[in-house]
Amino acid sequence: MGNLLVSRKLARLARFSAIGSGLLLLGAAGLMTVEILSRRLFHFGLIGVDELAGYAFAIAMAWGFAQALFMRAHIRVDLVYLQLPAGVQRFLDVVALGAFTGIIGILVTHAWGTLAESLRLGARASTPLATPLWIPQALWLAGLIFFLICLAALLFDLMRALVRGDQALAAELGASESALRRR
Amino acid sequence: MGIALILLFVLIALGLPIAAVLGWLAVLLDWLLSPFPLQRAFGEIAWSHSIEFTLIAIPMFIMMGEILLRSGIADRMYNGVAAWLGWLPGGLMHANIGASALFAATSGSSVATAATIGTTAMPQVDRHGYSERLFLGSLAAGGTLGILIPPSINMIIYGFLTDTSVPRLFMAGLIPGIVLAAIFSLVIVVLCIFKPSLDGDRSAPTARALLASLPALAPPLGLFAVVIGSIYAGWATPTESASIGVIVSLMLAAVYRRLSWEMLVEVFIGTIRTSSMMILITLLAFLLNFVIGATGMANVVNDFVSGLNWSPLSTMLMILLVYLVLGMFMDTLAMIVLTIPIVTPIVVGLGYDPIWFGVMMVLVAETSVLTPPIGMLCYVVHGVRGRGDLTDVFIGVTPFIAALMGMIALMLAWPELALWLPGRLY
Amino acid sequence: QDLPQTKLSVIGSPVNSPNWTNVLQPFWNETVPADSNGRVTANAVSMTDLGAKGPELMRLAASGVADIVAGSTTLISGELPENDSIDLAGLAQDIDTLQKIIDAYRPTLEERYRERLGVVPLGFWPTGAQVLWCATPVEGLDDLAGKKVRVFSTTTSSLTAALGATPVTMAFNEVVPAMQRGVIDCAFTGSNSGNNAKWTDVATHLVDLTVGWGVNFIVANSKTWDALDPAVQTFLRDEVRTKLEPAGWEMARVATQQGIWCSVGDDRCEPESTAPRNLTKAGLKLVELTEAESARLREIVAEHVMPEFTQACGSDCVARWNETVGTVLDIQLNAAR
Ligand code: NA
Ligand code: NA
Repeated sequence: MGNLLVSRKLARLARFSAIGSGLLLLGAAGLMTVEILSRRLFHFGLIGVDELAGYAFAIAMAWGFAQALFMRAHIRVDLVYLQLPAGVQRFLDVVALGAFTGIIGILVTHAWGTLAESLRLGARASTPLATPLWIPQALWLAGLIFFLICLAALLFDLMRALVRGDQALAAELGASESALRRR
Repeated sequence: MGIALILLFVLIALGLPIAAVLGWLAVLLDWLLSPFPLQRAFGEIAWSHSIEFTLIAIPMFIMMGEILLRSGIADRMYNGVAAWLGWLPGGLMHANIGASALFAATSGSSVATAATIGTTAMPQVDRHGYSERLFLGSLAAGGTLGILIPPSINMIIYGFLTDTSVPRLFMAGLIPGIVLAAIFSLVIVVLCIFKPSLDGDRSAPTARALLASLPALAPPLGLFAVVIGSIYAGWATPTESASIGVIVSLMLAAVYRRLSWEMLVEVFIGTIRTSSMMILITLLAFLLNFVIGATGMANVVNDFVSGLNWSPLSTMLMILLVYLVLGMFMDTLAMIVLTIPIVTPIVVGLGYDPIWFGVMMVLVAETSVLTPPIGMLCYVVHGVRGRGDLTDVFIGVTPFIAALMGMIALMLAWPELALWLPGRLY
Repeated sequence: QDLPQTKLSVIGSPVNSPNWTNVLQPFWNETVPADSNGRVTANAVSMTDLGAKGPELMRLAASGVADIVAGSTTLISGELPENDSIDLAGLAQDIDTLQKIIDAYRPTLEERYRERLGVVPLGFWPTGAQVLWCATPVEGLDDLAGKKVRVFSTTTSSLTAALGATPVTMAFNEVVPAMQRGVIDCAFTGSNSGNNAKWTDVATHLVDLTVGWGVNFIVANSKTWDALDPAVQTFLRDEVRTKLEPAGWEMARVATQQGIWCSVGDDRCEPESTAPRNLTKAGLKLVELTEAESARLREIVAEHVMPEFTQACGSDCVARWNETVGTVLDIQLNAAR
């Protein structure tokens, strides 16, 4: 059964994307260090490193949201939740995941609009690099969409487990970090 | 406004992810209060904040901490500090505070500080007969120094939200950080003198041990000098200095032969896990702030406070009290991101220095990660301990919460504690 | 006759900028309500209160987040190349020329803003001359060779490179420590904003080489605008043209001139002329370009800055530019191939 879960497969992908995000951040750190050294020691500044680091940051974070989801790192305050019976907890899990999916869906819709507008205008950054904005924005949006897919898949798996009456699996998929630790 | 706050608390208390609550609140407020479709700005606002240079320092400082955690620096450092402080009444508990303070100088987060020093120190508790509760408390309390002694993620967020200089905030936190560490140690000494059962083994300092400790203390001090020194010397912005810190700590890990692909993967996963969680909350809080700003709700609060006609000091005490209560129940990051854009202008309007208030906010945040029922650092220390009851930790931190209250009072009495150093350096 | 009751939402410049405190805020909070007998009112918020950064403002106007939005064309030059047409680095060396350029080009901007960006432009005015601040002796254009200069846009970057200097990018608030410690030699910003940001503490020379004017736009969302009563449309257009624009131009003149005078310690310095943010009287050395240097600058702009612009702008746009701005300046560009 466990192998049939969509979210499990996505979790493996999320791990890869998190490693990629980490590499991207490390690359940005390296580039910034080189820039500072060359600026200080050789009096030669590189143009636009700060701008590129900004794009790397946006893309790395967007592609990292899913990993935090599968590691249950997105903070839930479960003080009240922990006092409730398991059935209510599962119900709240569905609500929590549904709300999360919904709001990221809204964000993705608007981010899509931003990318579309950049494409329509052929917009470039008003900086010395004059980066075509659609490139970093598309990579960023792709990360957000990946996160949305992961959320939807987790919600789907959770609901399916509940419909089939598999309480243990449902708890594993939906419960908060500390609730799971207490079991 | 009141209804919105109540809704916020109810949704958070039901266990909804905080990021989702912030986002939905933005959507609902826009829907209910604004005649204009503010939601349409979400894509633009989200993008412009996602590429914000100042905020890149957050994942960078987290990555630096993750590398140090896995480089073996912390173990050596802990033993080095123990050689210097182990003779005091309270023995290794002073090493907990001292090593935390030292590690704080290279780490931007209190969770990382508590986890790192906690992992290193925990095996000592059984071996030397300390009161387990007080020992755990000193680890959690020491962890809070992570965000007061620079670098500090909370100060980066505060500086970003209020347009305050992050380098000056960093400098402002240094002296209060050292003073607070001293007060923590004083609390341990006093408790152990009056109740010797709390105490355990002490170790007399030998010249040889002191000398041998130096190579273990050099790397963290050197890293601090590079990271904070490069900011102070004007070589680098906080974001750039964090990047240098990442590269230098990688080099240190290589020197200690801990660098490997497996280690890097762990570093990356750990970094992304923590920082993407923090950044998502920050991002959605920005959307909420945009809606709050556009609907003029911030003005309502402002008018209310100035309508009270209280003196600056009583207003400040009231604000601090509200924060301490909020901080018991709320996630610290969410609390800061949500309230700072509204509260800081009020406080500055009363004549308080925004740098000073930034340090005050950090002290409040430190308290809130210790206080039950939701005390992030107590969870962390409890997690590291891996046995017993969470209540032990909450009991153990009580004297240190009192110490934090004392520190807040000191800051009210002598604002120079925070303001003197940045005044001298800038 | 009485205008229909109209309430507008307005987003404007950064809080504390002379533009916000002295131009936009009084205009929307006092002038407009007074002149309409309280019929037309506005809820005007500074972009700072919204946590907006500037580049996104035009899109906020287009998507209808607010009815009317004022912002800087420099920050959105990448969205519409025509924005650069009026403020190419080094093109207009004095404010009167700038005014002629904008007057000549206004019809083109109105058309392009409406068709490409979905907004109705109501007015344009500058923030102030963007000049060169140096922390090392720079007595003329030739001295810039080999210097490190902080730039803020695509065209200032190409101009700097063409002068033989190295363009560097960094955040505005990093400039003072960077100059102090020799990380950069010079930096561009407004004569007024540089003084306000205490650049006078570290700079020694102020080169009166204008690389731009930070032109502001004020636009209305086209759907909101079209739905307004024609009388209100006329009223608002007239108010902007006869009250807001003149106030903005006057503020820019004062800010530019006083920024220079106060920074170089001229007797005509009046620190309170840009209140609420007062200017500091300092003793920088003022460096003015000679006739020959001005001619050389024009040449460099034509040879090195313009090609990038014509590339981005396209042949129709270049033709329009030649007919309008080109005629004012007596420069004719070749369309890029
Ligand atoms: Na720290
Ligand atoms: Na708490």
